[in-house]
Amino acid sequence: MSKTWSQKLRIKQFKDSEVTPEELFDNRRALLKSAVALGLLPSRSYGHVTDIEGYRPWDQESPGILNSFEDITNYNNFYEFGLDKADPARYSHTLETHPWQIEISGLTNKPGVYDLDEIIQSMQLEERVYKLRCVEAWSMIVPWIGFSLGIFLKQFEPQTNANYVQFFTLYDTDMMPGQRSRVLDWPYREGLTMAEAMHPLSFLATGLYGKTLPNQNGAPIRLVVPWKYGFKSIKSIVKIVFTDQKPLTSWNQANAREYGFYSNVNPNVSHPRWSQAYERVLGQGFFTPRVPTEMFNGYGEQVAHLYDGLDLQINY
Amino acid sequence: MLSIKLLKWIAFILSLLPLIILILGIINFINLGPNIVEEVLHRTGNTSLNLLMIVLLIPLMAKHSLFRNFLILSRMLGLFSFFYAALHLSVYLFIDRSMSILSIQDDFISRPYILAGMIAFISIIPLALTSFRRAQIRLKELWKKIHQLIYLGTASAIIHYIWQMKIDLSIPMLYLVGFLIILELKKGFRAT
Repeated sequence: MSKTWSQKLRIKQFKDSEVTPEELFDNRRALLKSAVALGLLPSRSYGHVTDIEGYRPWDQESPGILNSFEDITNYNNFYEFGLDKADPARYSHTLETHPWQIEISGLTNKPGVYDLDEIIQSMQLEERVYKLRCVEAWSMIVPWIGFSLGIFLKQFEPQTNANYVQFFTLYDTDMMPGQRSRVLDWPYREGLTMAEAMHPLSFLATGLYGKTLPNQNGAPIRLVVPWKYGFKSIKSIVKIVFTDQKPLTSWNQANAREYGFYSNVNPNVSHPRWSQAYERVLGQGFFTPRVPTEMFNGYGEQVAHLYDGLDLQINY
Repeated sequence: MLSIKLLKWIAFILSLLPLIILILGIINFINLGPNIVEEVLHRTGNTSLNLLMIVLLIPLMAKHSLFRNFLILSRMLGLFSFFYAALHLSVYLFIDRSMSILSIQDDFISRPYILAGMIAFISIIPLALTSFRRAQIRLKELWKKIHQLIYLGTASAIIHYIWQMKIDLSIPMLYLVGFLIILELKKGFRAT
């Protein structure tokens, strides 16, 4: 029997010493809880997350130590709810994710508006533990739940000239008050080549840590493309368009010199703001040093062939 | 009016407060978020710049009799500003970059905001070195000239702040506007 895509993943070992001992972890939690009780910390809510049943759990080794649910849900770039990394956790409760529809259009034989609940019911949900590398030179390990983007897109029978896929976030200034400030050209949009979208690593997430996605992480459905900088992984998707032209993408529009269309994780392409050679793994102590960033975020064996013949220094 | 001694104590404790919060964060007693190094960098940088702005404001405030006593706080707040700037730079060099020469060199070459920050720090070193009373008495007019470097220091620090922003410049721009207003007021002050 041939190996599944996930068995082909290059798996990194991590040392025992890198794992927080459970006792210490519990101590820290107790301290944090007492800090909340003392009013030193705001207590945070996670919206209406519910348990996800019947997904296929991740049975491979993790690309690193899982970040805590607290870290993953309290340190987010989601400018629709404010520019501070704590803003999405504080303010995203205004987002109503039920009911939710996704419009599929462009060069497809099955355009239409589809109900997300029905989509989720029709897909086999599975868990994928991926490393998320932000262009701001930090990373975290997240146990996503969702389904393969490629398998999902194929159902809509994209036409042969559909070379790209474009994604749109919801545009609603009441539910996403951050959109009242014009820091980006709303709605947020992102894009992939068809080959990238069809790659087995490309993923649509509807949950994390066994629960539905908290609003601040892009509820109810978001993209996860683990070999690209995090901003490519667009959140709260309402529209997917098949197109024959390279689509506009938000950060590229805002500052093309800093944010390319591909935005593959690449330690060799210098960035005017952050050195991309190293990254800080979130959730570590103050004295833990940065670690070297890997080409394609460590997924090179699976994805490098997508860029054969392309100069990645120019097409960053 | 507050007694001078009490005023000094209040200023001292308020200036120390950001450091106490950072230490509590580093020992994990309070939660400064999952990216604690970045948080410490932001907080030390902000505190240093805030104190510089206050030091610039003090002579203007002291025109009103209510705040006359504030003049005696300049030295202490200036030294605290230097202290937080030194912490900011040390955390960048020793913790964030782990003294990696290559990475620091790359920053200096590719990222102009690092250069602006360095200029800001270097320009306030002479102020800290000549902050004691004997230096002030001995250097006389030269002391006043040296301490004009606070304008270069503050301007470079604001440029450093603006330049490192990812997209939204509104807060550092407020500092710039504040700085320009202070300059303008000082000009009027001197003319009269």
